[in-house]
Amino acid sequence: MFTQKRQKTWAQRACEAVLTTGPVPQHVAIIMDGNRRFAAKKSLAKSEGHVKGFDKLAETLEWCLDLGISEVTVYAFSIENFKRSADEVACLMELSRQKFAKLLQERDLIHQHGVCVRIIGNISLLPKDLQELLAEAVCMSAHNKRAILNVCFAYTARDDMCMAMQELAVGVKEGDISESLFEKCLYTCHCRNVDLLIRTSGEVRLSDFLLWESSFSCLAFVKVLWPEFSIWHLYAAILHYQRNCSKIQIVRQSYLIERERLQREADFACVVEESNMEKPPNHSGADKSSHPTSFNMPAQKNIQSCVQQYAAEREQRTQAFLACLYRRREDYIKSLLPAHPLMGSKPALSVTLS
Amino acid sequence: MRTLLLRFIHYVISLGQFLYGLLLWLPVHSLTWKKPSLEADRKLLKKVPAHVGFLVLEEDFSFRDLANLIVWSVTLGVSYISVYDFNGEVKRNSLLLQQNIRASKEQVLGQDLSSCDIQIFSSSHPVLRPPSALPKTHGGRVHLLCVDDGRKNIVQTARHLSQMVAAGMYRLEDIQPSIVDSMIQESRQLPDPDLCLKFGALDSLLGYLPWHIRLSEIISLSSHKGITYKSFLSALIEYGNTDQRFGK
Repeated sequence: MFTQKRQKTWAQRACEAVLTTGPVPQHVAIIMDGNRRFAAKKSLAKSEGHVKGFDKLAETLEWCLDLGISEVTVYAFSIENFKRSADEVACLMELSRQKFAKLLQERDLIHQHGVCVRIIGNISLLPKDLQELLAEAVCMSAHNKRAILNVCFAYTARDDMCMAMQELAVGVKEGDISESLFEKCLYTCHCRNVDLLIRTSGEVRLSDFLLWESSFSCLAFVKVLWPEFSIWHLYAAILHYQRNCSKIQIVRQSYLIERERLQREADFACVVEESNMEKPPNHSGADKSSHPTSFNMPAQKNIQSCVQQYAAEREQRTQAFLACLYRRREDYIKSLLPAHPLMGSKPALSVTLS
Repeated sequence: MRTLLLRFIHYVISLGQFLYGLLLWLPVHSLTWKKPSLEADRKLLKKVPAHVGFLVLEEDFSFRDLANLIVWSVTLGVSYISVYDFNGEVKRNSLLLQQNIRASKEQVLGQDLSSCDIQIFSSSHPVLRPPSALPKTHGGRVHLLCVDDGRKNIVQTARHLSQMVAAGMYRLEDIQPSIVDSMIQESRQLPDPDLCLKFGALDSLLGYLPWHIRLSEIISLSSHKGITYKSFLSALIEYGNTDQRFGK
């Protein structure tokens, strides 16, 4: 996937120097739309368009690395894409096989760039051999730190949210379900905040991509088809981000502060409810949480320490739940590794076939 | 010295972009207000969105213009309208909006007031009665939303499902997008927005209905203040010309 370094023109170097004086997004998400329209426009086969799209991705990743963008998320294949013709799906799967096999061959280059590859999505929906390749790529690069490439494969945001709901329904008690816990159950839990979301081909919708995560992202809809996306379009998108980011940051911060406050309030309500259950209440207990002042507790200080204790316990419960969830997901990926890795050697990881 | 120079260039480019934006913005405001000629305009639209979301990402609000947008939408056949601002400024001033809608209706529709029934809902006044079939010829439901109606709605659904699973009313495998979606629809009585009109220089959704926004067309306009019927109509025409493939 990563080729040898391309030479940049002086104009590009100058632009880069100018842009990097401003804030550069840490995490860029891309919807690479327009491969097929590009193929139609150039009267190529559809598959040819997808190949061109893949080449463009490799190029774009390099541009991002040079600019200091350390995390890139791409929408490679949506669950909805399974609805395409069998031919095209097969072709896309084959293309992915080839590209991931190539990526595994070029592991030295991956390590040299320090790229960590993560797969985001429900990969159990994919063909078995492709699952193996993806698992190998993930495990092989897991310890790289410099840059992260998230590949959304068999992904839709709604499916992701439903998976999180499933985990929460069995993993924690209902009262512990909060917004911050919810987002830690998403496939994207290990990702940084999405700063900039780029969609090419002039379409102006999200198409079930990072719906939750992009709430506070800067959106950039670019008119060109993905294979025609150039470094100049990337520069323009970053400039667009720079004009938006400070305001978005302010709103985001205020949102997070409010969220923490609500969490404290919820903890308080839980403590009140619990202690009311212990002793029989001397007022109507139906509306406890909304009348905290009328609550019959020895002293204010006492309540505060109770709430703090409750919060600490809740934190402990949810941390244990998350640790278990993450371990299970990691084990699942490892369980997909083929008994005899296809490419080269990777003896360090013991293979645990389920 | 070098950084200073680069910063300066960066600043100049930003300024240039700002001025360019201003240039694009100016001619819109010089256009005169045109009384909508309903039938003719409807024919211009290849499709009419069932739900239009107005995202106000500006500091100042003009309830008059918001009311105009709502009345124009309803007269063009839009049945659901949501008005979103992060802090819930519009929600808090629903009465003011209602007054403005009345005034705007008079201006747009003239004497024929009864044919256009606009109801306002917000989560502080939840939908009590079941959604009656949309009345008369044109009717519209306006939902006022703020950031609390977005992600929190999803988390509430997660909680609700957790209870249902614990009670044995749902199996875990039932938690699928289609079922969760119908649950969320039911709680809010609001279909997914087909078109999302974003007002203001900021290019972000700022927490607007993350579950519902899946397939919405997002179109940006520079400001809702002083928006003309013409620029609103051209946004709707732009929406009508888009072609969705639904993953295929």
